[in-house]
Amino acid sequence: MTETQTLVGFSKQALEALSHINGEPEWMLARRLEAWHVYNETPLPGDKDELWRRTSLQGLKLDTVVPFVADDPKWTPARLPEEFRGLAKSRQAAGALIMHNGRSATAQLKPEYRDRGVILCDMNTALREHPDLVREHFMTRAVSLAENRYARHVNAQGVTEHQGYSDTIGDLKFASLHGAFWNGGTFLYVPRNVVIEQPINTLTYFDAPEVGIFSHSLIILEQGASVRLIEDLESAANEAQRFGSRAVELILRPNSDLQYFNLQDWAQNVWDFTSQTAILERNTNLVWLAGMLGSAVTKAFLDSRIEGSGANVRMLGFFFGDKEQHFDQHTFQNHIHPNGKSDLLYKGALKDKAYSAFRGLIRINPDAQRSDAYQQNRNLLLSNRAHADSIPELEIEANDVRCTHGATVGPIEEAAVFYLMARGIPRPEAERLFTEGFFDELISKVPLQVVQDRLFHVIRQKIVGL
Amino acid sequence: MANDLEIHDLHVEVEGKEILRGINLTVNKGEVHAVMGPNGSGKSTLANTLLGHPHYVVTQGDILYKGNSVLELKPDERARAGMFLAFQYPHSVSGVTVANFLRTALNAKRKERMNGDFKPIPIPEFRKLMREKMKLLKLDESFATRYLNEGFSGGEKKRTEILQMAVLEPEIAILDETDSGLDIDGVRIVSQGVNSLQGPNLGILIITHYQRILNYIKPNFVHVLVKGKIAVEGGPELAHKLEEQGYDWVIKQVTE
Repeated sequence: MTETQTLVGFSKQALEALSHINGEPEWMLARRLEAWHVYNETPLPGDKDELWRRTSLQGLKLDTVVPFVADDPKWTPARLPEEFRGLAKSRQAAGALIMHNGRSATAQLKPEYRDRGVILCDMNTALREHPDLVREHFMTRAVSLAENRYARHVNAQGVTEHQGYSDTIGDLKFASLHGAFWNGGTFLYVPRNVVIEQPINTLTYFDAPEVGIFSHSLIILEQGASVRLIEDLESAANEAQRFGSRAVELILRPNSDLQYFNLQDWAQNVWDFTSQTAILERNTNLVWLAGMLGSAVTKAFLDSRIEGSGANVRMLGFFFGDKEQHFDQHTFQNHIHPNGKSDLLYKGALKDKAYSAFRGLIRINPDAQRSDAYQQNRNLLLSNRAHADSIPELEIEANDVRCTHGATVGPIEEAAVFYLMARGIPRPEAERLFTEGFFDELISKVPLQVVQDRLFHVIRQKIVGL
Repeated sequence: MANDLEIHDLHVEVEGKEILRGINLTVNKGEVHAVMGPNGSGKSTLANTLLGHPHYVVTQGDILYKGNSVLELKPDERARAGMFLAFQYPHSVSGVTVANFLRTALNAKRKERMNGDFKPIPIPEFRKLMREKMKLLKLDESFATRYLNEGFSGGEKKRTEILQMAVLEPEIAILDETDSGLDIDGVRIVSQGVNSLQGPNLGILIITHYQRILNYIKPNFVHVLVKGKIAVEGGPELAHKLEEQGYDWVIKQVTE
């Protein structure tokens, strides 16, 4: 078999070919095969599955997916469509990484950080050059296939340990497919006590038709490290469906500080499945923005695990659907250790026939005393054909905790629109102003101006229907 | 020359119920008119209808602005033409600052005036304008960055309405119960604000239940609205008579 041959569909043979062209060590091939085994043992979730009944997989075509393509040595970032060229090239950035079709990558990092041991590269390179770091952290702690985090747990004595959801496969089907076929993605390692003030940007871009998205972001902060990372995900619109199963793993060692902005802006032919997990050790701080702007269908599982005392996470979600976009998001604030704080705010607007489901779970484990957990999900319906479901869930097993949640779904306020129009503002602009106002509560919590500007820009584009 | 605002035999329904039953009223620039009336006489219906609130349906008659009917115009088109309504209950808009809102409104108006070569108002010029007008209404500068009407006291809301009027410089301003919910100091500040805008380029229509605000803003004409019709008209002395004797005598007159 030549390396340029294009395989279609998922098979053991395709998996081995991928591992081969990546020049992977044996242990990674073994992990891929293990994940492939889990994938084959796990049924495709149907509408009887509690966590999947809001997202039908009927239109999904798995057998036409091209799992990977060979490197395109002629490709350079200069070939990016103009609109995306600026994204990963900010002059103020400490580093930048550009990836194309899951492969060819250019990475830049300021020498002062490289000299201090910071690593920024794509995952395939990381596996070659830093195998020990990858081996320790890759799908071992965060997005792990070892257990189904969403399912009900009953111990050997028949006692229910976690309520969870009965009869669900959770994210196991697509996370295992990701584990088998992952390819490319961001690797960032920040050593002990290294503080990077300027943000690092990455751009992931896909344009080859039917090539699947299997990007894996692995972000590791050692003790006392601090960094901000903006990840932009873009793709060219093709006629054919594009499938994606991507993962994000954020590992925060004690006293580290991460701001992570993941902006999914795929073309609207993408079915985007994603599992993203943050591990927060003692006294860590994480601000985590999940932006859902693009894709035809998004099914996202976003977990924060408080695994050390005094950890603090702010989970922010921004989504704006138009046309027939379908977003289905699960968040999980999992307090395992005491004195943790999790504060979640997910806000979305839906236009045309767009749909959103939000299901947010807070679990306070018995040992997690003095936890603070907040959860708010707010949805703005900009059309009477748009729809949103919002379901908060609490599982509290400790007694000394503070926990609140709230959910709203509502249309644009006509009285407010009339008020704005009575001052001479035309209706489309009045609706834009109202929508920007709706998102302001969220955007004002985003600690980076460039990301704030980006989100306001998205609102304007979506409102006028670009 | 056409009148600036001419209301002609105006009939208005709300949810199928006729509230205004043939109003005739003319307001020109440089004049101050007061429309007074008891509760339920249709005062707020008149105010909202003039700006084209979709809830109020004109079934008969016309509203002419500078000689042209505005019935087919949307609220924003009426506003950009020069009409203004100070709301009785200004709506709050979360996440939108007073400054952002006013700049958007001002630019919408400039865009229409300047046609093709529209340029938004430069930020320093806008800031200066805001500061000047806020001072006039004794509003703290921090108001510019607060969310529109969110958490405002009754007095702050009414002053913000007049601030908008001061910035947008309408030609016909309708003040709907601008004195309601205000204490004496509040009425004085708001009235001083309105008076400072008075002049040959502004016509004012004050809608009020009580005569109190008319001690500060002197009307040239007083119209009394009862059961959807103008029952009595006169000069400023009519307001004093109502203050002393109440509305009963007018209502009686209408019933007979």
